[in-house]
Amino acid sequence: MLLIAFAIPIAGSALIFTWGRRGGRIRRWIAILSTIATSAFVCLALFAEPGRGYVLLEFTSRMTIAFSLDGLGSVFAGLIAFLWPLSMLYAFEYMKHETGENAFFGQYLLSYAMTLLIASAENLFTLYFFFELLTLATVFLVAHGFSHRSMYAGRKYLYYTLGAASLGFLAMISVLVYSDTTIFVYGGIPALRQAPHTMMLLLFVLGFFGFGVKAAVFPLHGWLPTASVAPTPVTSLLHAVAVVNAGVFSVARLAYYVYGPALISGTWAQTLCLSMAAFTILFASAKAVHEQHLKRRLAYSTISNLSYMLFGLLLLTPLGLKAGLMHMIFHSLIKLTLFSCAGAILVQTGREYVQELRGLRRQMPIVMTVFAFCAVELVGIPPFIIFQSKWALVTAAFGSGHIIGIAGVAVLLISAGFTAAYLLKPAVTAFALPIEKKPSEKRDPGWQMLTLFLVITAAMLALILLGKPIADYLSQIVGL
Amino acid sequence: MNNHLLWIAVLLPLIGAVFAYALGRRRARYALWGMLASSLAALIPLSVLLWQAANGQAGGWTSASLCAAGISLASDGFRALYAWLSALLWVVASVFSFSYFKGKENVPRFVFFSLLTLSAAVGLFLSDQLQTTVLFFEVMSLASYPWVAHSETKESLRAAQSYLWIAVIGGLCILMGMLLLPGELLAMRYSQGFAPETVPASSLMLPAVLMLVGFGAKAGAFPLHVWLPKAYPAAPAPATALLSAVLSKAGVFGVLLLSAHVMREVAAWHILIFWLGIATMLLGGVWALLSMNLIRVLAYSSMSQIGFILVGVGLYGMLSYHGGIAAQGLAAHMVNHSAFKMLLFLCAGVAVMRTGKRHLNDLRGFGRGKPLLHVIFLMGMLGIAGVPPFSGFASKSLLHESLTEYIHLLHGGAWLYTAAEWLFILAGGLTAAYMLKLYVCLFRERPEAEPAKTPYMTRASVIALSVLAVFPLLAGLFPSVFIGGIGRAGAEFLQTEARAVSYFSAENLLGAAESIGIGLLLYFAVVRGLLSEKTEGGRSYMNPVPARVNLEDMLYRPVLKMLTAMAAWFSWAVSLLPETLAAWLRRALLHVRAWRVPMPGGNRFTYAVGDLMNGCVSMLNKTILKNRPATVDFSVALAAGNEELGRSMKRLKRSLSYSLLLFCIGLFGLLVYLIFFK
Repeated sequence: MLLIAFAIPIAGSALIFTWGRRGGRIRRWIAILSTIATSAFVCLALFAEPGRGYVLLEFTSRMTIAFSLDGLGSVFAGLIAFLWPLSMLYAFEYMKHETGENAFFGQYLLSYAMTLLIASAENLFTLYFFFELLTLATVFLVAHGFSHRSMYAGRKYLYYTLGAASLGFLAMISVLVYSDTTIFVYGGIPALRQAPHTMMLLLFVLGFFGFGVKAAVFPLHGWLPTASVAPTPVTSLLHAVAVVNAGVFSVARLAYYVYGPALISGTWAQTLCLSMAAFTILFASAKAVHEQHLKRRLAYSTISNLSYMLFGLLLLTPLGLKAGLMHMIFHSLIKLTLFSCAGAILVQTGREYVQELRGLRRQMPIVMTVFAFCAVELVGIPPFIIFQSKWALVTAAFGSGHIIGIAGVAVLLISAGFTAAYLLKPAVTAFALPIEKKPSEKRDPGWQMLTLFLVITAAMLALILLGKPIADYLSQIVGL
Repeated sequence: MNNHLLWIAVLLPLIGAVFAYALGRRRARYALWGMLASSLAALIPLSVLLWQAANGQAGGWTSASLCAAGISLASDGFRALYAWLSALLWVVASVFSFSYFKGKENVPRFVFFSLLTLSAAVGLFLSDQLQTTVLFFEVMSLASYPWVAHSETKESLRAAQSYLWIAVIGGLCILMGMLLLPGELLAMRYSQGFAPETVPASSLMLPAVLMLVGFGAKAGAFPLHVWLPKAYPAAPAPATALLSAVLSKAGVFGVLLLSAHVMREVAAWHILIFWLGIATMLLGGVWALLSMNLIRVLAYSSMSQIGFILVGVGLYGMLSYHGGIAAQGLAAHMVNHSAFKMLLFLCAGVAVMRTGKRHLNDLRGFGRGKPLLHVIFLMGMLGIAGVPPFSGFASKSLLHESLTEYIHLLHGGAWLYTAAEWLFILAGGLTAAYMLKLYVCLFRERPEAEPAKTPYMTRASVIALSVLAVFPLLAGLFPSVFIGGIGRAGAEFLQTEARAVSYFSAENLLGAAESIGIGLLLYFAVVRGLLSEKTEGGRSYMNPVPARVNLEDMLYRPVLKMLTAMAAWFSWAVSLLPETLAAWLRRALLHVRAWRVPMPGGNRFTYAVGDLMNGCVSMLNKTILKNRPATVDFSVALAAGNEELGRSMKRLKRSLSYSLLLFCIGLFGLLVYLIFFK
């Protein structure tokens, strides 16, 4: 099942590259059908055969390309399987306003496959391999349009990710050197505990920054705001959900399944990484407050929220992992919607700065209502969903007893204040009266975009009441 | 035992909100009908709950899985009463809305958020756990934001901004406080009580104060009252009435919970609340006396009355096991104030609705020839001023009595609290004075033009207001039934013994007389003497304090602005760091200097030195070398030299010998290391 799920989008993208030029209709059908089929197969794989392993290629006995969906992977895979079809539908409408649809949809599908492959990688080698491939699959999406700015953004993205991933390469190779296998084990690969301790810690830190580059941890965050010139389906799905969460996911794999909390917990390595995450939270949310470009503002918000997740993970307690994953799920839903709103505004009215949103509620009532709702959600006020994950984060930080963890609580709360500042501003501006009072025609987008808004908003509303099953499932994964 | 009426009461307005909004899209009046129907519908289960609670059947309902942390509700006497009262006041407000919103915009939105707020308010008053309370409190804060922004004018948006910010910051403070509290306190049921002996008092103070920031801001306690005088005039009249009558009580309810269930044993906390209450009631009274905007006077009046209640809360804790009377007094004053303020704000709403003006000088004599309005206003006014035999007298007497009781109990240092007692009476006098000011202005002054005899209220609002207006007199005439009943419920909720009180004792009457006497004195000396003057059109009111002197514009906004500016500066400096690093790496590794266009010939350094030397030369030429002036242009010379140097260096670096040289140096270093250090 899993292999079919990988094969479909790859085949789909190949089809689009070859046939897609014949017409938009065929291309769209291929794209949407293969996305839905992939998601269906992912669901099947999740429910019908959880944890079943596949070996695709065997280079040596140590280096194999193998897959299996364990708990952590299933969370990530399930999340993107839910969001990708919606985003694809959104992209149909969005891309009418852009050129190069063929290349776009081909790569969009391809990156779906790559993200799935990352989610279901069974060992570090596979993870690293597809981590790099994901970069390559998405770099032309960032540079889409090939204008001067896009090219710059694409180049920056490439340098940052490939450059930093070389650090990840070191971590990966070292694991191969010290251990017979790189297969993920919850709690860490046992053989690494016999390896030289300082060396392991150093390599963990390298790996953290190497894989963390996709999670935009300071000082490797620079590519993400620049990449917001890409078409919105890319910024919304890839740079708020798939790619960046792949970074967080890989760090989680590294911390919990390769090196293991027993090895890192309480060392300088943990302190360093935790403080880096805490610092990123504070810095990025402060930066977002005075960023006036809406999509870039959201990008800084993403950086800050990704570090929330990293912060949770790096507490190296089961509670921390649970909180980080919870934040990953909830933040993905919200941020995808926020970005999609920004994209809809951009396409329908051409406005991209916060001040320009003034009075926009009159023209785009649905979009702006959804935007305001998501803004309130992301601030983290009860009973909205992000409150649940932030609360879990904060309790985990308190429970960890780590000094930076406790200082991080203050950081989280200050950052919540900043979040309120940078998200409520555009929401309130949009609901204020327009400057010139002229009868405005409704410019809400078409059904394809609205589907995304309505489905995700409904999901968020439902999760307010029913967040508990997700929390329970996550507890089960982290072994609580 | 699960009592399902509890969640039904919370859910009904929520469902009603969606339906009313959907209906309102067709015609605005349908939305108002929906609001009325939903609040009536919520009133039914709440009445049953109240009846059950009165018969001693306190029900509870808990769900562990909703909203992640679980929700637990319970209704004992006081909570059932307040939830019921909220729904009742909502009914009154919806009835009044029919006339207020005639021909106004955005009615469905107002109705939607009103019902959302009702649902949250009912949930809040019925909550049985701290986390449930906070949850509903936050929902209520946010859901009432569109009220303030309703008219979307510049002032109302600014007021809404203050409201939102105080709600958000207050909410975050509450969350931070909750976080610092021990877990067993969060999960504690109010109805079951909790013995906080296990927790050291010192660790409770900080979280409790943080939570006080949030709850106190909503209640309108000093110094976080700043949103109140702005938001109340900005919101539509029914919303203002509800903000004052119900939402401020939600803040008080939060403080009450802290005092009764978390900080019961911490003496310093109660003293803090007490003095906060004194400050709030005095300052509110003074500002009310100074204000010239009808709604703003009432807003400050709310603040002042909340001060009275907070004094009660403080006394309740300070008297600890003798706190029965204080508990009775504060519960009674809460209910009383809700009723009075509903009446007064709706009366003011009539004035604003009919004239569109809020300034007292524009509203002179508005009430002449409107006997019904006159009576209703009078009921509210006599009640709030504590004139016997109205119900405000009873509740204020209870508070006063507990204060004298505390002074009796004190052995040393009683002068401070005797002073507090005088301040209490003074605040009562201030209440009488500013209400008299309003009354005289609205009902005694002569209007510029005799108002036309048109109906000024719909029949339904007349009925609703009249029913409510009976309460102050009825409850005041039979205090042992009404005030006593409310007091008993409050005392039970606060876990103290209610005591029998004689309301019309000589001591109480004397206290009221003192208060009213001071009020009259203040009115004639200050309002007549200093704050108004006789003009042709009648008495004209003025405020000697300039409008820009207020806490918000002088302190809070600048501080917040400074903080965000600092954050911006910090993030700018930080984000420069990796960029500089990257640029430096690019230069070091790739020899790319993209960020700087190289100057032809030289670089900045050579030009700077060259210019400096040229300057020196020209100076020398003027002085020492006057006869033989030097003609060398150092700037050009240095640039040429630099270019030559650069070219040769580049050639050198590219040559094999240079690489070999570096290689040898490296090898040598390695050898030295291996020989001497290894």
